[in-house]
Amino acid sequence: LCGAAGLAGAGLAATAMAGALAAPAAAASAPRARPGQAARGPDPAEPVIVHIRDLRSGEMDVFAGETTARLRDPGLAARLAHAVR
Amino acid sequence: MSSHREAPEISMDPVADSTDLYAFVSPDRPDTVTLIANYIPLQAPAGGPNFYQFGDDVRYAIHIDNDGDGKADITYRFTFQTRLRNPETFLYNTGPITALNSPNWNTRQFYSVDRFPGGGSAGAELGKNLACPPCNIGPLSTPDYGKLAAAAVHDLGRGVRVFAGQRAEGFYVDLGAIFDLGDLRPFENLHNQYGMNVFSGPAPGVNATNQLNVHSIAIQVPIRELVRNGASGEADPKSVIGVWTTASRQAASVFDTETGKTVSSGPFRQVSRLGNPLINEVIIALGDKDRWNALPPVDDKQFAHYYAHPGLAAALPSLYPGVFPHLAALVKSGKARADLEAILLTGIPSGIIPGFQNSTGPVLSDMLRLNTAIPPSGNPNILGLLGGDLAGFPNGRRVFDDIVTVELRAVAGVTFALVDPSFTPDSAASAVTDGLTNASVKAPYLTTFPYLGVPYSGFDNPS
Repeated sequence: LCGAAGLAGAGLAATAMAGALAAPAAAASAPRARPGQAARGPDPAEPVIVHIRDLRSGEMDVFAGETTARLRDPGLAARLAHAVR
Repeated sequence: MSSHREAPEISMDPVADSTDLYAFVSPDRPDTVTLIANYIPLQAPAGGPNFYQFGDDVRYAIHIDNDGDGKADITYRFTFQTRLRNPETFLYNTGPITALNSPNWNTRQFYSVDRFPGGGSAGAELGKNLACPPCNIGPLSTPDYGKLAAAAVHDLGRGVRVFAGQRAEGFYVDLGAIFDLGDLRPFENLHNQYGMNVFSGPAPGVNATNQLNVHSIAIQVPIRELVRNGASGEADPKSVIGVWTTASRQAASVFDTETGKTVSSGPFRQVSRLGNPLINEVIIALGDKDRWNALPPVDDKQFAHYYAHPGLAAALPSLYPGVFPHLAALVKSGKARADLEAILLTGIPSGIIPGFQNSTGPVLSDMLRLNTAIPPSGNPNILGLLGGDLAGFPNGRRVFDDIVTVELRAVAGVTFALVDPSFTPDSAASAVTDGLTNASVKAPYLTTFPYLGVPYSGFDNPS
């Protein structure tokens, strides 16, 4: 379980509803909808798993369905970390 | 074992742990090839009430490279789904299971088979809602197991057959001795014994997999569906295919305490791989085993030094002092084991063994290579090519082949003379064995698909 292996390490994992991620995600590498194309969010019935790889830089992997995206958002990372403390 | 519990990560994940891979021209349908990938090692037959089953969350695959680039040109993917009839009982079955649709069978498993061409193209569904047989429980629960298992052989049309379910372990090996510091019981009196003098004479091998089961994914496919167009004859490189199996899991998982189940998400990532037998088991070093399992064969060049200078070859002369002097000199010379590289990473080119080749070209990739134009042997030798039988390992692998002895002898130097005629193998190299043969397997192999024997029942085993 490549992704899971890091969960107990330096990173932090959280399951989150899709909406919790949508608003603040100012991510350099986040997938974006093309112009004229409706943004396709995760299936609400499926989990979204976030693995924060480095809290200081805000680097995190987001897993949904059979896809993943690497984000860098220190603010969001800090808020997620704060939520579980 | 061949690949049972062979790496630290996968040893923690049995349902995704590939144990053995077989590829051979079907003896009873020689216009087809049979591919079998085994998973879930060392099953004690009485392992109820939750008897063994494939992972619904694991993506199992058998890959075929037919152009020698170490990449899959054809992938057969198997996806499983467990259906529970009655969650209110603790029982796997509530009465005798006499048919695959028996209402008494509570925990059933079904699967789909998809065929993907190379290059990431879309797959084609070959079959869905295909029933697995139950595990072999005993005379009350599975009174006619052979009939149940036979009903789970599915004909998908176009000459393709599949089976997925429990089978008797067909691989035989003296694990208990081999992993006790390289003891080979028939020669253990010659072992250095670390000065303890435990063994005074030779002893017969002990089959560590005796009366254990595995779960097999078997598919029989017309040869024409696997090779490149125009393949013609034994000397034609297009007749050779490379085969490997993988298991993949979604990249992220968390345990949901509200449901008591694991939740997974993200892309599927490879966690298990198997081509040639025993490679990740005894050739690849501990520090690289997990990474080897996660990579495709096309990336195997980085592991070539393990094949060229296997640790087992260096260990044998010190474990058995004076028994392998020529091997010791070969190891000391630092010469690369071009024989092992050819057998395991490129295939054997024409001109080495009369009338034989299974080369896929220069790309170093660990695949089980099968020359599909070589017909099944009417008189098989379990030592395969070493026994003069061109239809056996390392030309593919049949269910009864003695791959432990073949690889022991190859590593001990028997095959080095093929690439360096000046080398004379030690006399012990052609005699070394763990002392087992296919007769060490209690459940008879089948003469028809899926070839591995009827699984041992929990009622009768251990006995």
